[in-house]
Amino acid sequence: MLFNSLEFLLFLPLAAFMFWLLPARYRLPWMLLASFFFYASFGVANLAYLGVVVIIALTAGRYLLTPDAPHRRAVFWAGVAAILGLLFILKYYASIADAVSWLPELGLTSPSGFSFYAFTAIGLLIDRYRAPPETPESRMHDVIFLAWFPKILAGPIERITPFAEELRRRPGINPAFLSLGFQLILWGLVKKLVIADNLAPFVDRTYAIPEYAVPMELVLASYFFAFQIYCDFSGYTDIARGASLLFGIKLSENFRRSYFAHSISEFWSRRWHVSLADWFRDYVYYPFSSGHGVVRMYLGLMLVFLASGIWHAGLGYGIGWGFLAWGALNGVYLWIERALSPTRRRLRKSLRGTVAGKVYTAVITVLIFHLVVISWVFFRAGNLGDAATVLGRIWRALPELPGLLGRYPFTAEHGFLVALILSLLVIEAVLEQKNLSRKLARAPRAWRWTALYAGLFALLLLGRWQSETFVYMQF
Amino acid sequence: MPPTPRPARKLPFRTIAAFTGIFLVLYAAAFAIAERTIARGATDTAFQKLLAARGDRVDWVVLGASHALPLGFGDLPGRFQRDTGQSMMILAEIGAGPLYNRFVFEQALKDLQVKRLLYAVDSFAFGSAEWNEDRLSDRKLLRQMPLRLSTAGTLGDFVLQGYADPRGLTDYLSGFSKLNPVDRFPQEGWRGAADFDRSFRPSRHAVSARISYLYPDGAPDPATVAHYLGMLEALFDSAGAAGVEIAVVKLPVPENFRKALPGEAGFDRMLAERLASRGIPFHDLSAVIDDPTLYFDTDHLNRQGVDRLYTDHLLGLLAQE
Repeated sequence: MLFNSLEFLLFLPLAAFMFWLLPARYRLPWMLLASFFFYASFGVANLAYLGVVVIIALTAGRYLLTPDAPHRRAVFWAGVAAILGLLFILKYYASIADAVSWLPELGLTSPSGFSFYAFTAIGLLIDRYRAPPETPESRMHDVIFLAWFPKILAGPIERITPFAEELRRRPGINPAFLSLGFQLILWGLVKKLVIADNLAPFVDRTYAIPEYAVPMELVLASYFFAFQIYCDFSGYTDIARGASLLFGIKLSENFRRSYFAHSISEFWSRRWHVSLADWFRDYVYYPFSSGHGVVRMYLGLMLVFLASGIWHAGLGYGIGWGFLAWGALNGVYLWIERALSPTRRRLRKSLRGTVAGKVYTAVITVLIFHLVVISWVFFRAGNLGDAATVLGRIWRALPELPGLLGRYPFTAEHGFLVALILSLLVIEAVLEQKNLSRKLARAPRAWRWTALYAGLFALLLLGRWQSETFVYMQF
Repeated sequence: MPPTPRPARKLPFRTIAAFTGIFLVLYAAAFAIAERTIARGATDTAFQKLLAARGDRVDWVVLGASHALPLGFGDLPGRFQRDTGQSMMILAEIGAGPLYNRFVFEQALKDLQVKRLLYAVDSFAFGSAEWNEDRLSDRKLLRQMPLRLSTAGTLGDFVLQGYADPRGLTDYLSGFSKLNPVDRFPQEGWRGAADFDRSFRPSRHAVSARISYLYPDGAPDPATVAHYLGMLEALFDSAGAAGVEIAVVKLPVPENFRKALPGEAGFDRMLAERLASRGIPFHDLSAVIDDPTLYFDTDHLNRQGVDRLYTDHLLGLLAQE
């Protein structure tokens, strides 16, 4: 039951409607039931995997609530190791067993969303270990925290404290939340079905055998993939947030118009998959680097991105060193950025408020976008050979590309895809200007409804409804 | 202190109803425009031909899959009319098995006065649901089907009998595939009539790719073939009940293609048994044109091929029937 399937579009309003009808005391159990039903729709066996993680998290998490329990440290590490071990076995064991003949085949594969709820569970254990909560623990809250269906497949990776706070507010019917939820679902579906899924066939065709594609196609496919993955993942998140709001539960934003970032660190910490970046920052980077000097800081940055690369490997666009290279490249970007940060600060200060300052910001934004596009090549290609082919062929053709622009046989498909991307950028530019988006929110009903109908008809007329899976569901 | 519960409020039902009402009006307008646009650029699918010919008397209706389509690419029906005074309508569809053909034929019986039926069989179309049940909810075909109550009724019957996916019927009634084409930017595919004057250069690779496409699981399972032969018999029952005479034919394919067909002998045996038990004449013309230059691709006759087939075989056969 993918978010872009007819089944989900029937399930969601039905589940929300039943939730509103139920007396308050039955609403949390209903949320749990709906979550189990949703997750079981991808395979009943998935519930067993989820069950194992829930049991580990609840058992260890309950023990960690007592600050002076005798074996807190051991129980904490045992819980984390058990979940990480399971994650490792499910994601990587089959590939390792393929390569190492004496290892037996276990026939286990990672169910959809496992990485996400495994990370959520580890976060729960760490938070409980560091600071047991003052409010009484609720098993029901913990299980919903792990299994809540809008976020189980691909996040956002929430934290227990704000999430439990949402649950304690006794979620109920709220027209403002419903309206916002509907808008988020609509915008998420437009991003996924209209933009990402229309870009996907061109990207897939071109990246299938990069040797056969001409350099112009490789350039276009690389740009298109950057927008495909952004719209796919941020679209998913918008739908998840919107679906959750129908039940009165807020989820974190996770994406904020990512390609308007002015630096790589801003891209990763405030604009792209923010909940994962926060997770790595709080649970990996800070413990490793904080207060340990400059060398540990640089090593910590690389550690975080290598870990992120490993986390992405295993599934998705194939198993290989490409994901590790993607992580390492982003680590190198951050090293360079950190090393240059005093110079950049001085330059920004001297240009502040001038036309040159605006030009500088625009140039930096475009540069950062291109650095990200280059890193996505390693991500999409799935193996280093293909990534090298793509980048090598583009690099060699670079001097001729401006000339090729006039000679390349652009088709209606290219025009359509570019128009979609430009529309996205215009809308995101409007949303980036907070004043403008606030004004739009207060605009007369006719304007707001026109925007909603435009979204609905974009979905109906331009969406690809062939139930393409979400890229990040596979990780 | 426990957090403050969010206040519950009433839903603005009138606003929701107004929003939904306007949406439905806009949707209906878009549907009507799409229906008219597709009808204007009609590409001669079976259902479009039937709508255009409502009330006509037709001497021969030709059903089958893509091998029968070239009969309609030139002016064979016109030539046949001039030669014999009999009319002919080609209602074959790409990749259509007996179930889809039965769907088309039910509509033909509603729209036309049909005298005779010529069914062109292809073994692949009896080997899988892909060419039968799946075709009834194929979005490309649904897009080309004009919205008609009688067609909706037939499709509804097929849904009730378990042959068609209810989503196909929903798609047809809501016009979704007309508003949202499934292949907005089709890549290279079968060009049909556009290649009718071409001659094919034999290619073992092309034949093998085509056979893999038509028979993805190899030779059709005899139980599946028997199941779809039952569907063909149901079609013949409908024809018989309407007083339509039936003839079955296997159309020509080049020798290298014919020899590559998996399990063809078994299929021929099963088909012959069923037809013999009903006394339906069967004409196997599959080997009458081996010259690959008379085909525009691996297995479809070109203009010269159709001309040869008509002059040497089809004219006599149809006139005799």
